[in-house]
Amino acid sequence: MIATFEDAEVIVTPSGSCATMFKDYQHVFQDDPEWRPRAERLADKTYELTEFIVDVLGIEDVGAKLEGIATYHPSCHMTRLLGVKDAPMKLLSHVEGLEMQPLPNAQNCCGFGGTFSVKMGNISEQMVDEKVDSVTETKASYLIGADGGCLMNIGGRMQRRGKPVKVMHIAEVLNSR
Amino acid sequence: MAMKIGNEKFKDNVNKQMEDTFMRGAVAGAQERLRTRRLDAAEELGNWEEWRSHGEEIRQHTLDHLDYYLQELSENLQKRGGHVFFAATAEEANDYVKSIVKEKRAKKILKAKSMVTEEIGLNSVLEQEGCDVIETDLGEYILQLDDHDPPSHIVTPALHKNKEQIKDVFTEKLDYKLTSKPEELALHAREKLRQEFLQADIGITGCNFAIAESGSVGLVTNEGNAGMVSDLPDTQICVMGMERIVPTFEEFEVLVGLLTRSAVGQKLTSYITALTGPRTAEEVDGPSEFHLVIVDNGRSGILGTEFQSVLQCIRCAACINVCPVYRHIGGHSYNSIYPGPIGAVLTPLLGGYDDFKELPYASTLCAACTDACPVKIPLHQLLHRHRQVIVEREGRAPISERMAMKAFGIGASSNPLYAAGSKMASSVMKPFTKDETISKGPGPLKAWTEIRDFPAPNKERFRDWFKQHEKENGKA
Repeated sequence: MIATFEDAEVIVTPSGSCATMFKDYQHVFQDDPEWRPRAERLADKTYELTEFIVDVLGIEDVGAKLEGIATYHPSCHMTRLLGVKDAPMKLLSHVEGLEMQPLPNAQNCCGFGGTFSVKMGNISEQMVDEKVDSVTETKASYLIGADGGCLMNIGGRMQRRGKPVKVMHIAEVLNSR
Repeated sequence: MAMKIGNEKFKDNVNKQMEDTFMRGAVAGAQERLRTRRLDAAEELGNWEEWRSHGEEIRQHTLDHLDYYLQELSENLQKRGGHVFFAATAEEANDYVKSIVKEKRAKKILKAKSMVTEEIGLNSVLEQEGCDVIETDLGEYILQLDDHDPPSHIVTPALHKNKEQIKDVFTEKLDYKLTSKPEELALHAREKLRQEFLQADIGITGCNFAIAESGSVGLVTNEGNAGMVSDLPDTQICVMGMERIVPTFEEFEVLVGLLTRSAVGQKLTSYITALTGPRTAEEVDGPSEFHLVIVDNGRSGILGTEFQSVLQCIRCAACINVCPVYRHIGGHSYNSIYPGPIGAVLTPLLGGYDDFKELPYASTLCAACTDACPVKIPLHQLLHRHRQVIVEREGRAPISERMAMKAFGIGASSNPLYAAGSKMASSVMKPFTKDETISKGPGPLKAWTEIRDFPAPNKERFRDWFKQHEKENGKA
C-alpha cells in the first residue's frame, strides 16, 4: 500500500477508517528504519475526503442538490481516531434542499467492527438493530455516512428489515445535482 | 465467588443476557444518564484534556516507581501504628484476613464496597469460617441478599435489577412489607444496616487511592457507609490492589476529581475519607487496630509489559458507560466481576486466556472507551494487542479463521491474484445474487447474510472505470 501510493501528491480516501489505517502504518513500522519514514511521509499527505474538501481546499459548498430529509451516522474511527467531526456536517449543511435531522445516540458504533460483525454476529445484530431503529426514528429518507464498512452494515440490515431508507455515501450526496 | 462468576461459555452467557430486556433497558438508560453527566462535569471543570493528560502522567509516574511508593506507604503507615501485609496471591490475602478474624474471634464483619475483595473472593472465605459478612453499600447489600448475585458494573453493581425485583428480594429475605418506592426500600435497608454497624467486630473496606506520603487510605463514597465501616468496629482492615496508590495528597486531589466526574458526573462525592492508621491516644473514635492488605494477585506480572497501562485504571467505569457492546450484553456476560472494555483487557491478564480469550473480541474497536478514559488508557489498542497475542503468540485462532486470513493475505498481497479475484467476483457471486443483492451468501459471507443483505459486486470494477476515465479525460 505504501509503495503503491507514496508517489502521489496527496492521497484522498472516501473512508475514515482507511485514512486512519494509512496514518497508522508509521506505528506498525515503528521499529523499521526503512519503512517508518516512508510510512510517515504517506501519513502526512493522506486525507479523508470531507476533510480534504473542507480543510485543504477550503470549500464548504460544492453546489450539490438533493431534496429530502437525511440523517448522518458519524463513523467511530473517523470521529474518534482521525478527529474529523465537523467537515461532513459543514458540507451537508450546504446541500440545497437537504434537511438534516440529528441521529439519536449517534455516537454509538453501528456494530460493524470488521470481523466482529461475523465473529460476534449476535451482538452485532443487536447493535445494528438499535442503529436502524434510531435512523427510522428520525423519519429520514436518506442515511448518509462517510465510511463504506458502516454503511454496508447498516444498509444491509435496513434492507433485510425492509426499511425504505436510502443509504448514501457522502460522496454520492455531494455529487448529486 | 471470585473474579470469575460462572462456568458458562461466553456465547451462551451473551445469548442468555440479551434476552433480559429489563437489564438492557436499564443499562441503556444508565449509559445515557452517566455519559451526559460525565460530559457536563468535564465541561464545567474546563480544560478536560489537560486534566486527563495530568491524570495519565500521575498514574504512569506512580506505576514506574511503584516499589518506591509502596515502600513509603508501608513505612508511614507502620509509623502510625498500622500493620501492613503484602499478599502475592488471593489466597495469601484471604489467609491473612482469616488469621485476624480468628485472633479476634470475630463473628460479624461489615464491608464497604470493594472490587478487589470481590476479585479475591474474600466474602466466601470468611463465610466458610462461620462469620456473618455483611455488605453495606446499598447495591452490594441487595446483591448479597439475593443469594450472592454477582455485580454487573464496577460502580453501580446492581444496575441490572429494577425496584420491583429489589422489593421482592427484601420481602423474601428481610420480611419487608412496604412498597417498591426507592425511598422506602432505602430506609428499610438503612435501619437494618444501622443495627449491624453497632454489632460489628471487624470492618473491611477497599481503597480508592492510598497516599504514600502519609500512609493513608483514601475512600470515595456517596452513601457514607464506608465511614461507618471504618469508624465503628474496633478492628479495621483495608484491602487494596497494589497499583491503587498516589505519591501525595496533591495527586490524590487530581485523581479524585477525575474519578468522581468520570464515574457519576459529580464534582465531589458526599464523602471523601482518608484513614490513617488506628486511633491515637488523643482521638476519640476509630479502630484500635488497623491492617492494610496490599494485593498483587497477578498485577506485578503486568508491570513492565505492553499491557502496563491497564494498571493506570482508577475504576471509574466511564469506559463501561460508553461501551456499545456492554450496552447490549450487560455485565454478567463477561463472566468476570470486571466487565466492559476495562474488564475485557484486565480479566484475561489476571485470569488467563483459557477462561477469558473471547473477551478481547467482544469489541468493535470503536474506541469510545479510549475516548472516555480519564487517565487515557488506550483500551481499544490493548484489546487489539490481546488479539495479536492470542493469534500470534498463543496460536489460539480457530483453524477456519487462520485459513481465511492466510488466503486473504496471499490474495491481497499479489497484484495479479487480487486483480483476477476482483474480476471474477461478480460472476462467482452471480448464482447468489438477486436484484443486486446477496441475501444468502456462501462461505465467509454466510454469517454476514444471516442477519443482513450484502451488496453484489459491481460488474464494472473501479480500476477499470478509472483506467477508462483516464483515457477519456487525459491523465491528470
